[in-house]
Amino acid sequence: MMRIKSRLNISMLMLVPIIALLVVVIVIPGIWAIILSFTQYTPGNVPIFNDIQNYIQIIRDRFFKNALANNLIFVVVVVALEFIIGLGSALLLNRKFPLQKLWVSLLIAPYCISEVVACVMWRYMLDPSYGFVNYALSFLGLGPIAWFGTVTSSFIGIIIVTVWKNFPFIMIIAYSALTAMPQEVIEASKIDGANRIQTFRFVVFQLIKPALLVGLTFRIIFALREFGIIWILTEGGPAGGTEILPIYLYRQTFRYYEFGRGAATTTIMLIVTILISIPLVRRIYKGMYEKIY
Amino acid sequence: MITHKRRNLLIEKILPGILLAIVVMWAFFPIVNAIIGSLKMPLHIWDFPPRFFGPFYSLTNYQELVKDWPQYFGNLVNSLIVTSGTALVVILCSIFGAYAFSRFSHRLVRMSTLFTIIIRMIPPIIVVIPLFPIFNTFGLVDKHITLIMLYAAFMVSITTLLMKTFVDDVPVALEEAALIDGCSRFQAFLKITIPLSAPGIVAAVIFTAIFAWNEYLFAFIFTSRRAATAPLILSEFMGSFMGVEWGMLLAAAVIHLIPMLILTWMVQSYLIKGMSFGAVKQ
Repeated sequence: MMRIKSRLNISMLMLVPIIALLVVVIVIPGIWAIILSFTQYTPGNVPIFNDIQNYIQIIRDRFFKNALANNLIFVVVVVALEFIIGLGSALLLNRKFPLQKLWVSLLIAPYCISEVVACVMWRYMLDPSYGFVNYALSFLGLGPIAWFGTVTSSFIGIIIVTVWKNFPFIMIIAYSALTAMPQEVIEASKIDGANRIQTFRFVVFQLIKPALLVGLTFRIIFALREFGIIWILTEGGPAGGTEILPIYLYRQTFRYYEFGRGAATTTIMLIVTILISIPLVRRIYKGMYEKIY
Repeated sequence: MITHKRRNLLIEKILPGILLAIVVMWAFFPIVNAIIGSLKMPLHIWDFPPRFFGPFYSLTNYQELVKDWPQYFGNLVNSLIVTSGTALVVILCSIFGAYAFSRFSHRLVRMSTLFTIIIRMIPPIIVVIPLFPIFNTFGLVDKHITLIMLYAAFMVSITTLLMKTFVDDVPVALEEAALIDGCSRFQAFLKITIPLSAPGIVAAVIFTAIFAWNEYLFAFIFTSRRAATAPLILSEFMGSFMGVEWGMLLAAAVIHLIPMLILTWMVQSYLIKGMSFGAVKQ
């Protein structure tokens, strides 16, 4: 009994720093944000409880609806493209080329640089008059496109940069899953007479599917909260055309000083995120103790 | 027979090679293009059609950056301070946390694990709203320590979970042997577990460094001058109304990204392990 107790004490003691950090910086402010979402609050004043008024107001707000719709389109398009490019690159890399390490490095690079730097580089590439992309498009008989001048071109612009920056995440997950896959299974399916497409569809894809689902879930919840790339490139414009929830939230909070409404928006984002990530949390938790990833 | 062989060669070697070239171009050309742009004389940065070969290469942009915009190097130093500080806090917290997660399976420890995983999912923007007024009141805005604590809190969950998988690989028998030899539990932890899980520490540091060096949201909201990090200043410079001096901007961006490029090359295997954490069992 003594022994168990002392072991518990040691383990709890070791968990103090991390739990304290998480509680002080994330949990308490998070709960405070949820509480603020039921108040009218501008810094400097005392928050006044106003029931669910903030929620009613934002749900009626056409800018909120606009941001929600944009956010949905943004997440679906971005994650779908990242999935296609990421999985495609992983399958390609899995063929093992000479100088493999170099190719992997070059392909991961976008994931490791700052979103601000990514925006600088792509703004340079996407200049409407002198940019490389419009120059390249001219060979295909397309363009010139007035990048960031119209809603459509702005939306495509932020999608390109987001996909470019994050496709390596899906790629690496798929690539690691492919590398970890037992080769015998593929040999067996070949012996059974499966052609290449059948082998991929019924064997390889099935084996890497759980890993891909983790990658996709992560990317969905992260694309949902994308702020930097959009704020730097378009600030949500033109005319709210690229405004998604985090941008809406920023405006409500720091432009109109409606902290209560901002808090309500962030609470909605939090709930959506948690609902989406339940299966992911369960899987990672199980993996932590049962060694089945 | 010969045509069949040729077809195979085409499908097996040439086609994948071409596809790889396309993917690598997509991923890396924007970076190369920015590096090339930063090395061109300012007049040639917007050459149309774009040219990559010619007598227009020089270090002018970098020289001008040093001369006209020396504050930027102060911002790089800020980024460095914040990144190192974050790494330090993260490692201290996650080394103990990972050990507890790995070696104890009490219900409270398991609950802490679950809690840590859930925390990982929370959008950072949620803490911005309540913290902004508080930090303003207590004079914590525009301080290195503020960014360090925020970054550490949002990184420590993933690094602890990641490090746990490394601590799991350290045989308990080794620690027990140390206990029999007269070490205390803490000494065993210090002398056996920590050195043997060094790769986990490396992986955690890399991840923290990539996050803290590049982060924008918190830097944008909680710093302005004294503690402003390089990404924030780059974004302000790009958005300035005075018309952008692209030569200097590209040079500044390239200086910021070079350490990350070196990192992706040097520690690739750790990076892959960290990125696929939770998805693929290593």
